[in-house]
Amino acid sequence: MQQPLKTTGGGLIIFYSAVAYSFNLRKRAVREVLAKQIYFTGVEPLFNVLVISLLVGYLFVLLLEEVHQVAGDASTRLLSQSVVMELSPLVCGMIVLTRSGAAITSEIASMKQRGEIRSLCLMGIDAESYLIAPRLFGVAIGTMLLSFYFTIGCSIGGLTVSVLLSKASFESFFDVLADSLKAMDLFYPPLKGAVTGLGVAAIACYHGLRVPASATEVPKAVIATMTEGIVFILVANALMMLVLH
Amino acid sequence: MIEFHDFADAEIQLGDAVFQPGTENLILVETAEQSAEILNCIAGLRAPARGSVQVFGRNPSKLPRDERLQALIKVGIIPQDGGLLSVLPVWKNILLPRQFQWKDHPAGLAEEFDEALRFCGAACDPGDEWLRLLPDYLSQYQRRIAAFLRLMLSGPSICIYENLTGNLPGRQKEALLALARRYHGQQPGRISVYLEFDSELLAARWSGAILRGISRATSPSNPKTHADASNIRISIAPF
Repeated sequence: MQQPLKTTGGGLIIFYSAVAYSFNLRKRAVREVLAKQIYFTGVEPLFNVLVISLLVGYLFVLLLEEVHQVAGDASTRLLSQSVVMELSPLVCGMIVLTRSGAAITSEIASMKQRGEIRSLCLMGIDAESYLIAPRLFGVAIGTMLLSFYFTIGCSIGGLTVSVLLSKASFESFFDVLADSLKAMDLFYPPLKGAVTGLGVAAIACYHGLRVPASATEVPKAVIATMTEGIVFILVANALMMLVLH
Repeated sequence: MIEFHDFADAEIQLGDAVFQPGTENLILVETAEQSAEILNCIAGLRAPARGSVQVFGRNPSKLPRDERLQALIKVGIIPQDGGLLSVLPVWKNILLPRQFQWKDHPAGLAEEFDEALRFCGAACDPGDEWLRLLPDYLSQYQRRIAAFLRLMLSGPSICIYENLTGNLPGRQKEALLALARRYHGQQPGRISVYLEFDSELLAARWSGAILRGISRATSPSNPKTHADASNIRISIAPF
């Protein structure tokens, strides 16, 4: 019970530091780290995310229409309300955790073990500004982008099944999709994605920064990021679902 | 000016010493941990266990965080092995401290960079191929040259070299020392501090007084025992 509390406290401190030193994001050197992080989290996995989301949308609608005999319009509504709204931030959070979370923890941990964080401090560069803030905000923006791709991919996957099985037209599919979503719902997946991304990055930075000197501790720190990250993603998404609905 | 007053930390004891502007100073310690303790205290990353250290008349560990970081810009430090970031290519490592202080690319930085390369001259590898590599692909010597170029771009009033010549063959050791000394002489009033823990060769050739750190594990029981030099002003004999 102690470790989750420690991680929560540590993650909150890291989040606070990132916000407090976010004014340094205007500096060129920090902007470069931010841009790299957005690229690594939100652009590089574009192809993988599109393939996964197409398959998820395709299988979801196929399952509803073929196995459960749900009518075309109803399956589109379910697709928008459950997959697009709820599943996309969850799946994107998991993708970000396995890619960026693991990378951030191992990178910061090895930097710490090699004395590079001390070296930054000796140069008059604080780790919060140069390492933490751009990673937190970069991962948050990247996860928002992934949620957006995922939404598009799911819609196209679902549309393909609907067109093939129910002979539905593009117009009717998108009409039903648009009907089942309110204007505010468009902000919901990116918002959940941003919160999930911030949390994952904070946990990853926390475990990277507190790694002890031994090299064998780096894999342990990555494992801790993975396990606690999964718990965070599930709990955060459940809470946001309760609060925002 | 750097002043140590009754300075002692977990593993090292220096006592009282004053490094005046314009001087080159050698502090000899026994281990890397001891030199790290002294360096961390000078940089204000921590306060010493006993006594104090003052840089430009201020105690760095008592400065507010932002002021301390600002003060460190005037203090160029080359940590052991150069302290380059392994994730950045060498040229980005060299520019990092300057770029971090500015919102955009500082004007004239490219010219300063070229000038620094010219200053290092024969000590640098010819061509710029090595500048594009990641630090892990560089030799110990190249890493320290890169760190030296980084220090030069900051134009510091105080230069601190942690084990600058350690683990290097004789010629490279002398080339680095010659560079550091030439750079020291470039600006009147610049203070240079060499923190060495495995360079008896340097100590043997040092013509001035040497501040020898006393290992606290082996120091006399009297906690007030001081190191064997104070208020040192050193003139360096040519190698």
